[in-house]
Amino acid sequence: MQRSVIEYKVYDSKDFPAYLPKLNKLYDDLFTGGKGFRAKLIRMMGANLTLDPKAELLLAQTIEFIHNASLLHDDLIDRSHLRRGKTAAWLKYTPEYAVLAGDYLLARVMVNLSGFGNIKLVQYTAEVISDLLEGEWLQDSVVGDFFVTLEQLDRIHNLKTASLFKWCLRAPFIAQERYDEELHRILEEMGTLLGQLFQRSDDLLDYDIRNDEGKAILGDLKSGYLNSFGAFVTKGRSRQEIDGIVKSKNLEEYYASIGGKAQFDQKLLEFDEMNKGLIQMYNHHLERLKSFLKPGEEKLIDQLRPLTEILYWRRKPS
Amino acid sequence: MSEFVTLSKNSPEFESYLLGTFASDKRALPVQTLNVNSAAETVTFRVLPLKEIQRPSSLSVILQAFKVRNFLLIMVPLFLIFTKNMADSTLRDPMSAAIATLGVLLGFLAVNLRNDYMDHMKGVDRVLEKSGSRAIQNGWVTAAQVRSLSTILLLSSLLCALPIVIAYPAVALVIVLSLIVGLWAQFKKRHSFKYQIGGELALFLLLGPLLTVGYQLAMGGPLDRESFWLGAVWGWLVLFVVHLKNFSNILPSSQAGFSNTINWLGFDKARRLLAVWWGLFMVFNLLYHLIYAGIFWGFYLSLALAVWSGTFIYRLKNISSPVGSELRTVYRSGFQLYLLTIGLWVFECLWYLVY
Repeated sequence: MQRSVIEYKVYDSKDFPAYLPKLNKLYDDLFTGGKGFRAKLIRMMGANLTLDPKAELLLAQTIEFIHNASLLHDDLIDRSHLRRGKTAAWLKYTPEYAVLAGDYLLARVMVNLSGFGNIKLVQYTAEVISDLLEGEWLQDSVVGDFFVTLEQLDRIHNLKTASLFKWCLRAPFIAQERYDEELHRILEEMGTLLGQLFQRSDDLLDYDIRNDEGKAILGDLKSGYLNSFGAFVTKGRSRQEIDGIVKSKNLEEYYASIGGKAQFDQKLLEFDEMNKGLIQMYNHHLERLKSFLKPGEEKLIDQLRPLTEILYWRRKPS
Repeated sequence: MSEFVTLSKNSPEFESYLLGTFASDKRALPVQTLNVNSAAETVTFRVLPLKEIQRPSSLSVILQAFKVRNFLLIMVPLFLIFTKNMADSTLRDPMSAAIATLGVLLGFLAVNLRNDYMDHMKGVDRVLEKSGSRAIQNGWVTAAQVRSLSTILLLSSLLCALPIVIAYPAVALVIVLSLIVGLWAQFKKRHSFKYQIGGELALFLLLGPLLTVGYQLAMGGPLDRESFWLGAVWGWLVLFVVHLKNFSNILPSSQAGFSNTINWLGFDKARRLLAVWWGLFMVFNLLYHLIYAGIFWGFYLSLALAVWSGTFIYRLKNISSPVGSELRTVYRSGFQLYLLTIGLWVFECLWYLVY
């Protein structure tokens, strides 16, 4: 059963009050142009677990609402001028509207989910939102810190990025009232690994690695944020060397500051090698997941397996 | 070639993987732990053939496994009491002093290793990646080997204690008190290892007054207040380092649900606690000197410490993240104060011996 990925509308202006000025316009801008990867993941889970279509839509809406609320807040915190190639909401509307629109999305999540009537799902979702906010808070606290370590960044990414991936994997089972603890532990570990891989791959875009979507080069570094690959490269380097690295204005300067392009390629190779270990671990947990699936659900394994290809290597699975 | 194995606590193999006894030619390195120290605990191990374990030189393994850096915690109070008795000419039994020194060192080694073993089995060292010696987690030794060595060292330590107790029965009281405090701390750890405030108190007593008073008695010296206060000041300084370490782990340990004083206070108040704790240490140190050592050293030592405290307080005041690199600089800065204090004390003691 191959369904197209976003055939349903996650955002519908009818769901929000029309009398609030600019709200629907702001959401229209926000929800168009995104890849909707998290909703696709829900879709994939739902299709293989034969989840009720209404529940599937609710879950897809939920995750996209949470994700987009975080983007609204994120852009304001980071003072990012662009989101998906368009003017960021806080600039186009006002910072006040951007904050309120984000808060409103999170409130709608709770309204919609509580109407579904599964208290465990409501509780878990609230926990994920808390994690996300903690991650945002912590990330903001390390802006300008060019000596932060990869392990420290992993802790932030686990809260900020991986929490949503964990939710995508666990929420469909919770919606079906499948609460086996071991099953959820496996999904938790898989979500953590997927989140970490996605974040690390996203961080590589900053250095123009596998950057097919044309993300701005060295954007993180210039805005004072040493991302995971940046922290991996600077590990063990002196304060003086790091001072030189963070002043790079373009990739050529960056290569020169770390000892040349060959050195950069070597570091990339090591980074990829380290992340292959995470992919191995993901595949290990995937094998464990098999025993928790019902007959007819086994195809989920085949569909979850290539996610690391998509999320880390940024290529379509062969 | 490595492989992954994930085991839940209810699995019959769980303990053997943690202990490292599941195979003689393989090591299981814990790479991920979920729901630490609960019935739902799950650990994912990377299983490697023994020959693939990257092991530094044997000397490095021994130094790291025995946590040689921690030896300052015990050597300093022993040195202070020893030189105090030398200066006061109250060192009546050098042989007993030598045996007591050996016994305390062996006991400290045993406790260090037992602590590493417990923290590995309970999960502290699997959750906090910088905690413990890492010798077990890196696969250099198994938890079972560490446990056995700890038992042997503890028995050796008790053997050393035997002649001293016969010669000076009052020492038995200190040993019994220490055992009660130690066992109480272990009991608390076994039943609720996430509650660590009791452990802080135990550390203060065991490395502070109980150690100094016991050592004073073991070398044939008289029971005096100075030994007690010396131990109390030292114990206070030890807890400063403990709080400093806990502060640098505030995020992961809070996430894992550990309740120590630092986590209980939270990031903002914990910063104040560290500053106040250090300030009080300087006051106690000055008072101790005024009462027992004289105004000269009390003044100059306090002045030196106050001057050096500036950087630490400045860094502490300006730290803005519970996860960034500033944590390391604050820790280093505080640890330097601890080392400076030791250096000044040693210099002062040698001064007294020479002049």
